[in-house]
Amino acid sequence: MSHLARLKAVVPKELAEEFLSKLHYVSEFMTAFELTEARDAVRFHLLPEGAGSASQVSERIIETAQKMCGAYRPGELKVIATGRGPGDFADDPQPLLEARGDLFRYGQGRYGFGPRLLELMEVFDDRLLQAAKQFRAIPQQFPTLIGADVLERCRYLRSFPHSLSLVSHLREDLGAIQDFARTARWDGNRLLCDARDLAGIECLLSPNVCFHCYAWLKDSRQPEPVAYTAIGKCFRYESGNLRGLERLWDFTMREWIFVGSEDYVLRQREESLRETVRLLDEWQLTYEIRSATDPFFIEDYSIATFQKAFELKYEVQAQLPYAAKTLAVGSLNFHQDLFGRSLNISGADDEAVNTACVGFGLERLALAFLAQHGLEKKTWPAAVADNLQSW
Amino acid sequence: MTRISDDEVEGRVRSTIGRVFRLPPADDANELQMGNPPQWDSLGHMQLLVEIENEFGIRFQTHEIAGLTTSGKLAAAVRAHSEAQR
Repeated sequence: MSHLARLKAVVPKELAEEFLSKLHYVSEFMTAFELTEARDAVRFHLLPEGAGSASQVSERIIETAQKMCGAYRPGELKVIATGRGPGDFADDPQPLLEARGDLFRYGQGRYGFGPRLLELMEVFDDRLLQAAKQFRAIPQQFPTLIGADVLERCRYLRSFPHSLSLVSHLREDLGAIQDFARTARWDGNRLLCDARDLAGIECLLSPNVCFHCYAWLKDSRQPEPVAYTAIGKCFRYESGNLRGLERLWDFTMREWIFVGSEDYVLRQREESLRETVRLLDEWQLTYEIRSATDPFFIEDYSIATFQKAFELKYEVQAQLPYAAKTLAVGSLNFHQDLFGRSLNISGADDEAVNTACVGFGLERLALAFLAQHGLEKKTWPAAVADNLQSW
Repeated sequence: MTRISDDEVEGRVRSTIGRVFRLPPADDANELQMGNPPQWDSLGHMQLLVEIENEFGIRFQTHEIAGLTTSGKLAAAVRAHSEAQR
């Protein structure tokens, strides 16, 4: 049965896609939804067991629209750089990769990669690592788990609660462990177990790489500006927005990380921008680098407007010809002194340090490259093709 | 719209800042700018702008937001909006 939530204001056209992306988190009972053509109502469907919750779901949809529209301010996204590559492939490479055994889907947002894709991603990462040397970036390696204390101090729990991946283990209690071993079972969708057997949450799967770096520096004084680089697994649960290689729950990021004065990190971000353009052109990709915002939860959505106004985030949007749309394959982020203040990291002037990070999603880079250039190596740019053995 | 005097705009802006960031009365006589008080951070900035908009019945555009980082600049922007609405 179809239900209608009448919004109290029209959702601006530029906000419509992001508004719809948030509706996946409104109710577990909601199976489908769409914004009406006038953008003043949402038509939605519920599972039969959720039929009684229609009015509550409707109220939540209205609340989501009110909070996002209230925080939204119109303004053009600024285009910083563009590039046009020669790739003329038009098909979706993903089914082709799955058919030839290069890619395996384990579940929603979770994929395995065969040797050819792995080698392609390594070529990108080798260049990103090489480029990091010009910043004299210190290589580091971080754990996949991140402390909940770090995410709390950095406001991440509040700003992105919808995308967290919580980690638990069984309590150090023989009875609880025995109970779990006896009763836990997979019901076809999820693991059924007694939540009382689980320990409190100390860690989460890390949503990004750079937080580890800032946590390493917490409660310290950094008299000299410094750059780091690291590659790591990142986890962002995106519910119904998870879509093949375009949007993974579990993905890999190479980051360049800068810590120092505002002047230093902004100069490094500018240089990173120039270096990013060089790399994208070397890989002969069609792309646009433009100002952007992070997908803040509705309560903190006004920070997205702040990001846009202060140009704190640029995204590298690569063309996906098969879908006639673009995909963010990287971003350049200026955090001002957020992490310096949150984690008590001071600089030469004893003020909180500023930070910036530049991140590249390797799976998305590979997807965009294959979507534009196809799966035949002979048509690929030499900078990539000459470094591959398995293709 | 009735014209509001410059002094009144200044006073209401400072009082809104004091209310949003829960400043003791003595503090709102000091120089007020983003970062000082410390609650005036990214989220605080947006909360403040919404309160200022509600206080004066105006709406800021994205391109203005990065420039409104002191009480004086906020008051000037309010005056400009109010003039434009007359």
